[in-house]
Amino acid sequence: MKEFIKKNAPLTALGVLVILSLISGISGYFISADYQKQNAEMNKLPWVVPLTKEYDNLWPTDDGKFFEAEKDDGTYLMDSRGNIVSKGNDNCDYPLAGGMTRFSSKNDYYIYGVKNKDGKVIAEAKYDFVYGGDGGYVLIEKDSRATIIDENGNTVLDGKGYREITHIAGTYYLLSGIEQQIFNAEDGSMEKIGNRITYIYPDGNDGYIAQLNGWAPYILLDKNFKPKNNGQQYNYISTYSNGLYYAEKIKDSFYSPERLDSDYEENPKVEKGYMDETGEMIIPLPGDTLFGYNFSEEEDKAIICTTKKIKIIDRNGKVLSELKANFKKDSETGMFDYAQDRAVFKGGYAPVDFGKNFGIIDTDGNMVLEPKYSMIRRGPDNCYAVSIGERNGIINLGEGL
Amino acid sequence: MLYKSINFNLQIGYKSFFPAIAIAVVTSVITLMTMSSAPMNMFILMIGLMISCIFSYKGLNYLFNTSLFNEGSSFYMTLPMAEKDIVWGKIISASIYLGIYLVVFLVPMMFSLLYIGNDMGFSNFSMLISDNFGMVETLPPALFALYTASMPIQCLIGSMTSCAFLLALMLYFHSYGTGQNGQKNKSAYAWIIFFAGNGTYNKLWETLSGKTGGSLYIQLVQFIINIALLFAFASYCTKNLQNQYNQ
Repeated sequence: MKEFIKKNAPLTALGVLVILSLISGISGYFISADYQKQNAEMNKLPWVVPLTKEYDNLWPTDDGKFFEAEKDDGTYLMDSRGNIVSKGNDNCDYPLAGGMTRFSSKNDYYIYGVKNKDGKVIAEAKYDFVYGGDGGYVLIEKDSRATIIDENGNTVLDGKGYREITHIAGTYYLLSGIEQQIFNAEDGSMEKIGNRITYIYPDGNDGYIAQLNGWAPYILLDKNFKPKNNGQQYNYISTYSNGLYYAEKIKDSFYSPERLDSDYEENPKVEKGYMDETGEMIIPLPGDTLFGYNFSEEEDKAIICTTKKIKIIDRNGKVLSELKANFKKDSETGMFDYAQDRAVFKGGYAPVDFGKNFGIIDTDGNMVLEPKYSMIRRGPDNCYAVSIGERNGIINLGEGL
Repeated sequence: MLYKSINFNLQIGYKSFFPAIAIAVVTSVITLMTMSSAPMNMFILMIGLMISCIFSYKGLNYLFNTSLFNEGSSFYMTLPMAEKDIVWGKIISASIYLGIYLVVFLVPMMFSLLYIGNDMGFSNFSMLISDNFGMVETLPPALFALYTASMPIQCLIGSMTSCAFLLALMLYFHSYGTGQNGQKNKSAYAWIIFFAGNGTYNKLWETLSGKTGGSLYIQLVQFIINIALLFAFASYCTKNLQNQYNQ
């Protein structure tokens, strides 16, 4: 054999070339056939915006009322019918709470200004970030210096001396300097809260969730920003839905403002399940559970996932149906999703991460959209923004499939 | 005679190309063993590719320079081989070595891609492929299969054109100013122009292909131009070698 190859090297090389061509051709055939098959199947779906490479990104706005489509020339705002509501740098107004509007500079889409509910410009387009709007107050930030203004453009708080100011909800802001304080823009009051809080956001139950140390743990706060349940710390806690939180309770771990960041273990022992507002675990979940999504307010069902299964459970923790999934053991699915994306039933459907890809299921556990999309996010009117490869589109499940 | 010329050049180039191919094999095995860390393992592959490129320079330099003009030239002149066969023998044998080298690197790259593909699901993977090969959308599977089957041939022709270009440059710089000192410097000029010219030429097609969304026509035009250039360079090399050996 060795001698043959040595004597017939050119012939052997030709043989290798033929084999390579065959492998390449056969692979090409299967890839193309799969693409054509998928394309034909996808064309039958009720697209509002068919899958296209026209937009770099397409996803729902934070308030879930529109879709935001990014292109080279700026961001386009779309309604659930795929109609462009505003587009480009000239007129891309972004709705803020309280009827206020964020608008972009004509020269740079990513430089913002603010108009109040009467359409009057209260902050010129020169800011890097604009947040809030609730209660008539807006947080504007330029060169890492934040200022809170009211709806007439008057400065309520100058952020000089603060490392960071973040909007919590309503008229409340978290001021981070040498120590941290809660600031109420409405009456100007300030209250100390500790010094290792990263974010505070509403828990959906008249209280708040505070994320500590930049990543974890989390604690629950009451409406006055005082720790609830003796400061019980959680590796993760969801917002309150249908009387329950999904929680990953860290055993014997309680919050204290004096504790150092290093006191938090990276992989603590946790008890996973759904708990009520008193902190009692109502539905404990088995040890192989990766994550539990919120209970649906419409259906009173929740989706939980293990490495191999997606399960739909009822209020008693009974498994109603199961679907095959494929998660890695250390997967932290769900924790990275935005609230509106989470696998919660709404309008009869839920977008679900199956490990490798996203699909949509109905409340009976039937697969409505096969899990072949890299991302699915819920938008307004039962419309979903879907992505596959570099393509983005909007699908309307309003009438079902 | 061409067959013998190819075999002969493969044998004389073996010692110089062996380290390059050995490094490629070792790197590929490491890449395959670290598949679970794809696409990070591609980094190891790239480092290996760069190191073995340096070694393959030695092989190409031996085939196109040392064996033709230094100790090998007198031997060549005594061989009962037409200049045309010498030229094509060198171009084809160098391309075979580069081909082996490419296959050794492509196998782990393909497996790593398949690993990533498996991780993201085949459907999403085929969409990803279609994003990079626009013609999947327009060509029926059978035609697309023909296109992908032609890719190794396209690669081979591309490689032969580059080799012919390098040989033409070597011959040009050796015939230009014959009798002056500094053979090494002359081949250095050839190498510099080869890297600059070859790089610019490939970048040009890459840009053109990118702007037309990987158009099949552009690739066909590139293939035809590559063949034309290959024959033009080979013809120049034959004439130049005839002039030099007949002096």
